[in-house]
Amino acid sequence: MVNGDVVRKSSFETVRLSDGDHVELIVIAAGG
Amino acid sequence: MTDGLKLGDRIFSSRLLLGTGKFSSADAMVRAVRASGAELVTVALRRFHPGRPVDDVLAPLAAIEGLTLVPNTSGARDAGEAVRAAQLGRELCGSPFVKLEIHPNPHHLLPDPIETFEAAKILVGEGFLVLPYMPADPVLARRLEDIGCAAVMPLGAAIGSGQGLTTMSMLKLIIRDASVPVIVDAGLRSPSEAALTMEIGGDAVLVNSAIAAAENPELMASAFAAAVRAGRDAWKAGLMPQSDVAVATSPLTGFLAGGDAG
Repeated sequence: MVNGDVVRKSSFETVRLSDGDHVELIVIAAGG
Repeated sequence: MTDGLKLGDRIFSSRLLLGTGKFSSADAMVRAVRASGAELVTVALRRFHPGRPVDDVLAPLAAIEGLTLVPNTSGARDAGEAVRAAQLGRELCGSPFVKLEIHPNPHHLLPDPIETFEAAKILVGEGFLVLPYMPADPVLARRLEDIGCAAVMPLGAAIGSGQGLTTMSMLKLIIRDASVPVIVDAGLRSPSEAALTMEIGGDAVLVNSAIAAAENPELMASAFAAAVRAGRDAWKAGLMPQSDVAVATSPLTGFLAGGDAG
């Protein structure tokens, strides 16, 4: 996610980041 | 497939869905998934923190053929968070399914019906196959069905409680009226409860804690699978009517006394 927005997989290679952007990495985990 | 579980445009042969949480190891989880015969397993999403270990569940699950991942939205406290979690789950899993769960109170983990309904409307509109975890409320079940959810997932009891089918009377109403599959989720402790769910006409069950927290998760997964099949067969066979009085299974001829007993 960049600044709270979901980045689609198809955009991973082209997404542009700017200074101050807030990037969060989300991963799959075990869960019910 | 003659008796498949139809969710959206997909058909599954197993009516047991498995959660992947709480297992002691990835190996224990994989063995349980295999033993269960489940084709749909739920996973969660977590924020990645550098330096903090992350259990890799994706690689071991990817090694199991025919498995479809169902990302859940656990941790979401409102519709907005749930929609974002669902979108993330779709990107990560490549699955059209989402187990929509919104429980704002970590004490009881009961699903928020209003936020669930709002999120379901948005997600159905975005093309998700929405499986909403919900209170055992027949009115809400109908509303979720009406807006296009692929199934409804009423709770048997609070998540992880192992209290069984505390909502039985409501589950029966939901099952009676539903035209989408009813998947009873949460609270089950024993395979007999899964069998009972199927006997009353439930379409599937989702089990996690009862298997993951068993002394032998692999064997318990196998037991749940057998119970789900038995319950489904019993429902298809049609249970006999109940009677308040005894109904003889042998002719009451009274032949020893030399006459009919009547």
